[in-house]
Amino acid sequence: MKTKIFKNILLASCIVFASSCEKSLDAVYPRASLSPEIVGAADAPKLLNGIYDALQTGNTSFYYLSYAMEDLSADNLVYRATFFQHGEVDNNSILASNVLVSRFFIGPYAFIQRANDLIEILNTSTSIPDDVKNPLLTQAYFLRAYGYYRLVTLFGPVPIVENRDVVKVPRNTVDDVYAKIIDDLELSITSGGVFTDSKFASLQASKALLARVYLIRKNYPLAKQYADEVINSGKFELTSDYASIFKTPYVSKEQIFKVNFTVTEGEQALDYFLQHPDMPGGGRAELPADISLVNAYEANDQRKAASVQFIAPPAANSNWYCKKYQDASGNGALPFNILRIAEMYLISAEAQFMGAGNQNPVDLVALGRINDVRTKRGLLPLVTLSLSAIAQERRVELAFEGTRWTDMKRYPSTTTPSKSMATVFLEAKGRTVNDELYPIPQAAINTNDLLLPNNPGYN
Amino acid sequence: MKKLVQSLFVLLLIASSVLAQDRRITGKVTASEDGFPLPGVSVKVTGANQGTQTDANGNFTINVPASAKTLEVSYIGFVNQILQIGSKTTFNVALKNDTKALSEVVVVGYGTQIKKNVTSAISSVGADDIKEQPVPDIAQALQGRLSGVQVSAGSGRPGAPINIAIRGRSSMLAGNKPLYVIDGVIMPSNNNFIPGDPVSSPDQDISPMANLNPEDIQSIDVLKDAAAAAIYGSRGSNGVVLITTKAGKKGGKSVINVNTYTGFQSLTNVRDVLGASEYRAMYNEALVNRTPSLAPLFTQSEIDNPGDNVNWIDQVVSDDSRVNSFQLSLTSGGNEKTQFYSSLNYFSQDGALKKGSFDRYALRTNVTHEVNDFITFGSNLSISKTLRDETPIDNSIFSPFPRSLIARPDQPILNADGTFATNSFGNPAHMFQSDDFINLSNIFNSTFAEIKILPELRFKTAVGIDYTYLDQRTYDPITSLPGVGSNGAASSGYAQTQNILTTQTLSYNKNFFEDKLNVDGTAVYEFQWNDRENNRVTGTSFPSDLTPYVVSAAQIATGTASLTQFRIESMLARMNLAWDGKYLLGASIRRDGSTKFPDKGRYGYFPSVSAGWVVSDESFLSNVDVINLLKIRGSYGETGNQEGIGNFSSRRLIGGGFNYDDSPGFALSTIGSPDLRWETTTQFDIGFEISVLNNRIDFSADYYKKKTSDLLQNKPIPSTTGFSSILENVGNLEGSGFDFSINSRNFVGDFKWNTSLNLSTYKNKVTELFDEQPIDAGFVVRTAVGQPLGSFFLVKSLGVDPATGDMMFEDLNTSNSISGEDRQFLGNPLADFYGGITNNFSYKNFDLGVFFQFSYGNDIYNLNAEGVGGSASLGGQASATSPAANIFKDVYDNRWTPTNTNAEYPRAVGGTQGIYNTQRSSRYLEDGSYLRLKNITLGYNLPKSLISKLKVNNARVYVTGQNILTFTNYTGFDPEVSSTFSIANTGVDQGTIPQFKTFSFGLNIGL
Repeated sequence: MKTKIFKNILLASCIVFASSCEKSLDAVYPRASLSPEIVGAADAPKLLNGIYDALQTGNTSFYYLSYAMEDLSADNLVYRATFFQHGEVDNNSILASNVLVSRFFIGPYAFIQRANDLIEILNTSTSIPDDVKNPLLTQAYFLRAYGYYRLVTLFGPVPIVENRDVVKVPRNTVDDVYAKIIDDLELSITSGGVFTDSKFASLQASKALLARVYLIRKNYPLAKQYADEVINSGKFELTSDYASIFKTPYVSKEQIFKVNFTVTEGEQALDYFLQHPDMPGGGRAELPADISLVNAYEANDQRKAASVQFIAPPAANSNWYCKKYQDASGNGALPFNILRIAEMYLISAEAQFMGAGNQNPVDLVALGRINDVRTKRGLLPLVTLSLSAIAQERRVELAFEGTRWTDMKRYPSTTTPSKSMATVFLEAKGRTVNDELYPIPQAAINTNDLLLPNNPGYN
Repeated sequence: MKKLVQSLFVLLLIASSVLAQDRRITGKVTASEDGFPLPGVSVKVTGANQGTQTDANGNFTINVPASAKTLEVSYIGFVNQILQIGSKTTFNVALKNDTKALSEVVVVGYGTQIKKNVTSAISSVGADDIKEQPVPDIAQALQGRLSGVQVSAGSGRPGAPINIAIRGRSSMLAGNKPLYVIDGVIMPSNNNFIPGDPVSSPDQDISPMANLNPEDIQSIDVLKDAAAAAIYGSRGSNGVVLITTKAGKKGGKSVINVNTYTGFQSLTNVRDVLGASEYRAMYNEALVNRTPSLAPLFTQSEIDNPGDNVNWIDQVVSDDSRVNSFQLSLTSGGNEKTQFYSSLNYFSQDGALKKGSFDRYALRTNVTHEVNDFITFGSNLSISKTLRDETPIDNSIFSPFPRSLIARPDQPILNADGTFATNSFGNPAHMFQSDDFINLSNIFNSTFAEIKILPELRFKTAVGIDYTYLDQRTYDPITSLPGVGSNGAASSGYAQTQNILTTQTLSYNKNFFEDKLNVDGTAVYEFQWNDRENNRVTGTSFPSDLTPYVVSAAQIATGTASLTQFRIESMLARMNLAWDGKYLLGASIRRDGSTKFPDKGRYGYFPSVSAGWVVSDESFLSNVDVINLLKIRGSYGETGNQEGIGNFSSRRLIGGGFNYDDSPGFALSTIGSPDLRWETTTQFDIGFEISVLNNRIDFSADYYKKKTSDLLQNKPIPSTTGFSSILENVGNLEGSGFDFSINSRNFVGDFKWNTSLNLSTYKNKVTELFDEQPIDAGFVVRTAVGQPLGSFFLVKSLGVDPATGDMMFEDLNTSNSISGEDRQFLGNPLADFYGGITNNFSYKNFDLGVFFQFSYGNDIYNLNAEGVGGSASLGGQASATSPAANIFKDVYDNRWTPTNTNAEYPRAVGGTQGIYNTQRSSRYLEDGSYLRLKNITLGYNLPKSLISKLKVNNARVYVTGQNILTFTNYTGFDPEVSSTFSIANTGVDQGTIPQFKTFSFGLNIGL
């Protein structure tokens, strides 16, 4: 009797527990994330947002500071206090151990890999209609190209990665990386996603970046072609109120592509580093403006008052400060302008001048393009053109917008034309041409010795 | 001499045999409780060597000499009986259960075992050992009681987590807390999660164990070696604490007990800081000593008459801190079918500071009932709620205690208008306005039905539920220090943890080969469900401090809610064999499957073997009367630790929250660690137990060696993946130590004196890390191959230069400057040995217990003292605009001056030299050894003659002193403090509140 009861109970409990339990070990799943297998076509727009999120955060901390690095390495910003790593950048004496620079290396790979994830899903999916798929591809390719653009301009030869495999990937040459950028931008353009809002990438944004890349690569015909296509797209126009681009609500027809930040995202505090405490929204006066930039503005240039502000004594740390990143509410809810139409005019001018114009100082096409910009900024038109005049115009137009160091590396020095502006700038500080590139960070080398040798001068 | 004794012995034998005129006596021994015959009971002639044992039916036959007057009947677990022989030849003996002998049975996890048969390392304490201590948490009561078990309080905050380290540490990331099992239910470790900011430190974290009423505990058994803990498989690496709560009794009367005490608490130690005059003199001195020298800030008259002179410690420490406890319990008796134990408990403890308290309400009912002769049912139910009113006590600028040590004494408490005055370091008296209420409600139930299928085969089905609801509400008033900027800020949230465990146990116990062989087998199937849900909302900008709930906030700042789960499925089997009670062999294996692990490595096996030899039962020792028990045992086993692994860390996941332009986004949030597994600890243990001189002295010793492999570590990976590290099993660690314990009944007459001493050693070293890369953690800790886990890595101080009064440091890399490159390994927080010694005296109705507890050879880094703003800064940050922090008076008194050049501390100096002198270095590394009079209790049991008039069974009054005396060279407040129990911060003192010194008075009445 007892045995029978026991047998029944044992049997029952085995059925109840043993059989159902094996299943319930599989039935546990997270509620704040998804298994990749179940992420599909329908989630593609959200994965696209994830790439933009990486442009904001770099999947690390302080990534937003990277947007000031070109200006800090060059002659637009100087270092005052707190992060000695910023001091290294300003002095062009970066150590491979610089933790901020290490984050600037990590960040772009976060958006490159997120773009890889999305592009793979889009290209393997058969269920997404083309009219949904194509705008997504346009944006994903642009964002991936922009990631490599950030890397190649700061670090030179960097690895090209196709997927998330945890493997050591060797470095590609600078030519390979630019070829990859151009490929991606062309794929972005052919995917056909048209500009809707500058918060999002578009084929026009890809053309604009392509124009800049071809200018860097000294392919003047294509640089001019793409710059002109953007200008002629009718989507953008120069404003006569330069300051409005950098003021609430930070919306302007000049913007081709910007990384937007909302109040709730609040993931950047660049204003905190660039502004003086007495300025709207406050700050820490860490990185004042370089006085040579302040002096570079011509009289009557409305860009000066929109770009820099003098904080007079007796305030502590009296100096000139950048005011292009200003949110009076202190929320950091302001965009980073990545591409603006004014630059397309200047690229068009430069490409014409250096290319078809054959450096003719009175080339009317080139003069027309640069003067379109100058007149909107309250300045008189130029009557003769030179490469240094274009460089100067780019400097004051695009100050603090992340182009200056690459420009200085491109332009020949006015005093020693055989060397770049950057090299002369470096040598005047006792540094060398090697400091034009940042080192591959030691933290990255520690996990991937294929990154060795480091850039020249860092080994 | 020896020969003489031998001759005498022989003579005696001859004499006795000559005189002997043997008689034959027969009898039967049964258990008084159930009348069942007792086999193996020893029957001996008092004072002679003749003896026998009862057979399987409880019968015995013995020949006794005519001179014999009495027989002794003894059996483990029962009270010995003396039989007057007289002229009787037949005896029927009913042996009574020995309640004291309950300790002779050891809870081993999924069952019990007779202590003599245990072949693994288990330490136990009973209710008597831990009673009458004015502490809320059972863990505190265990301190110094058990060998191999190191308990540290970390801080004096009531209800804060207490660290229990069983045989040291075995993990870097996965935690070193033991597994708690209450009445067979494996407790979750994730029910201490404060919804807002999950931190794990005694500063801010809370202990769910404080919800357990210590007075309900019958016994605690600690499974120390792998053979004992392997039965808990992937959660056994840090040892297992088995807690058994009280039950009713079958025999005797029902008893109502009232236990109550009240106590007065003060800090174990208070140190003097400078008064305003001395502070100003030091400030001046630091200015003048600067390079270049600055003018003194204060005139002599401003020094002599500072105006305000505030002792900030007095302003924040409560001068009326109490502890109260009231316990009412009913223990049933005299019912064969149903037994129960029921209790009601209220405990309240004030914090050390002006604000802060801990209250506990707890109810318990434990019932067992024999449904019929083969089914037994039982259910233990407890409901408890703890309420905490917290004050920040970490190192932040809003924490009154650490700030009271450095706040300027020459600045006032209040302004003339009655508002709080400003202090350069934050006005500590202004830091009590914020509210932080943390309540933890718990429902615990353990219910079982046991079916006796055959006399030797039982089946038990059990379900255990632990449900925890932790809620927190904070409010920073509009005028409070943290609330100023936000115009009042509030948060409100909860975390509920539901843990369900079902356990099916089949147990078999039978003797074979004429009772020579005992087979004790257990097979278990177990499943655990764990769900945790949390929810929190914060708001800012309040209309009034009288409306402190988030509903009144003008802005809802943040909100979050989430759910996470894990499941563990287990099967286990254990077999213990005993041959003739002498040769013992045990083996067990557990198979655990956990949802935390990837599919392919989801299940793991945790085996153990152990063996023992009761040498004293061998014939060659049976004549050695002095030895009552000698057992040698050894064990080897494998355990795991899965605590460091998040519920989903192994998986590749696409997570939400990667938003752009306020629209939702997805991105790969974890890259996944497909080979992730638990950390595995193998442990080898060898030990012996010996009892001598009529069991008057018990001694046991163990040596163990542990090896942890597959240590979890955040391994760096190529950042081109978009991630910088991955959680992987990459390191190895080794540890070893000795556990000793001795119990001695020194006097056993009217005057009784017992002594028990335990002493343990432990050391470890890291043997492998990823790429041999050292890992820096916290402030001063570096983990490196070849070093103990959590070692202090510091610049070495060479003391004060008598010529200049400045610090000298070892320039290890001879770079002519002191930098991080000059750091070296200079100590670690592990004690060379630790333990406790208890002396209990009793004479007639009086008893006295004196308990000391100690730790030797551990180092403490006094982080609170370091730096230009530390409590030993000697004006390090003094400049014309930046004031000096206040410091400890003995630092000031022993500083270098031109007339005191052989000084312990450097001169008072600000500026660059001040920074140099106060830099992080071994200047602040101190010996943390201590000896503490942990508890002294004097009790008096009222005489029977008196209490019988009062109609009570027993009445006892006692006075207790807790943490009365501390002997230490540590210059901080309390050598037991620790910022956190993580590897990064163990033994780092961040100015945490010291423990209490408590005097209490108690009364126990039994009706």
